Amino acid sequence: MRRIQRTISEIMVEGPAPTVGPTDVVGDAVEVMKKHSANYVVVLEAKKLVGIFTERDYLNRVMAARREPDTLQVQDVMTSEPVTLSPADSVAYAINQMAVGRFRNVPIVDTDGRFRTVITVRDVIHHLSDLLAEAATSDDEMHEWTDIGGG
Amino acid sequence: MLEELAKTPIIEVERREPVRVKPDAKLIDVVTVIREHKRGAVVIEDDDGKLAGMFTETDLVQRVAHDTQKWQDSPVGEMMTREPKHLLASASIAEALALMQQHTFRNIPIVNEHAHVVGIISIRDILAHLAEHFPEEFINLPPSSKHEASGRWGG
Repeated sequence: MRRIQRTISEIMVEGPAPTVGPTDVVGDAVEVMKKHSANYVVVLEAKKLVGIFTERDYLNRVMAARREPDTLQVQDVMTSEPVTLSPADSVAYAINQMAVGRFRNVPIVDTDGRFRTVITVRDVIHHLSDLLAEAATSDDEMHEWTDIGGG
Repeated sequence: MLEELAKTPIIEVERREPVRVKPDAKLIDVVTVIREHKRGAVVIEDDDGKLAGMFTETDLVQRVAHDTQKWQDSPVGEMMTREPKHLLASASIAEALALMQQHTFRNIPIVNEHAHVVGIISIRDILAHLAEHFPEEFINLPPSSKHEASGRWGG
């Protein structure tokens, strides 16, 4: 379990993030999500994180409310100033945010405020699944489930 | 501790009752129940109570055409994942996590030997289980000085 105290920087995936501007329309944000196979888009203004818009927000604030995605601006339905973590924080913090805070996507921001990436529940599943698989292969008695976690 | 966690059967993880709908339920009604129950997914059962499919928030974004409001009346059965991956109640957390990783699922239906849905396990349930049963690892971490300075954990 020690390994859960790894830092976020050790497991986070950096690359082109799904990004929109606050005045982009929701329909475009959904297209960006689809293109990146992501469950969220980050909302950046002058390279600073101003919000996050997730598929849950889309369901709750757009679809259930029967609002028009092609005229509605992202800034009207995003979560402003979301909880963020830093690359130096422990993975356990991210897990705690997801379990207790019920966030599935936590933006990672440098101490100088620069947006780096988003740590997703998918990243955490990957990490935990690997941990359990490693625990399995490191112990002969655990052979019964090495196959399961070995993928 | 890792071994103990890995072997824990999913039935021992505190879970919420699955939200069940029929294949002919309209998508707008499914959206409403997902919202009301704060879920990421619903299970779709046929008339015999057997697992027919799954429909998730992600499916809503990825599969539904949003340029008109026509989606509202579409039956969920047309958009659901048929014959979804599932687990038996005897499966372990390690098995659930492996399936979640392999297929990028966040929710997996649990069925009995007659294919009747007896539950659903979500990644949130597993993370909450971790946080609850290994609190020294998850809850009582000393905040870094950075955190205290920024006050991010104040709320």
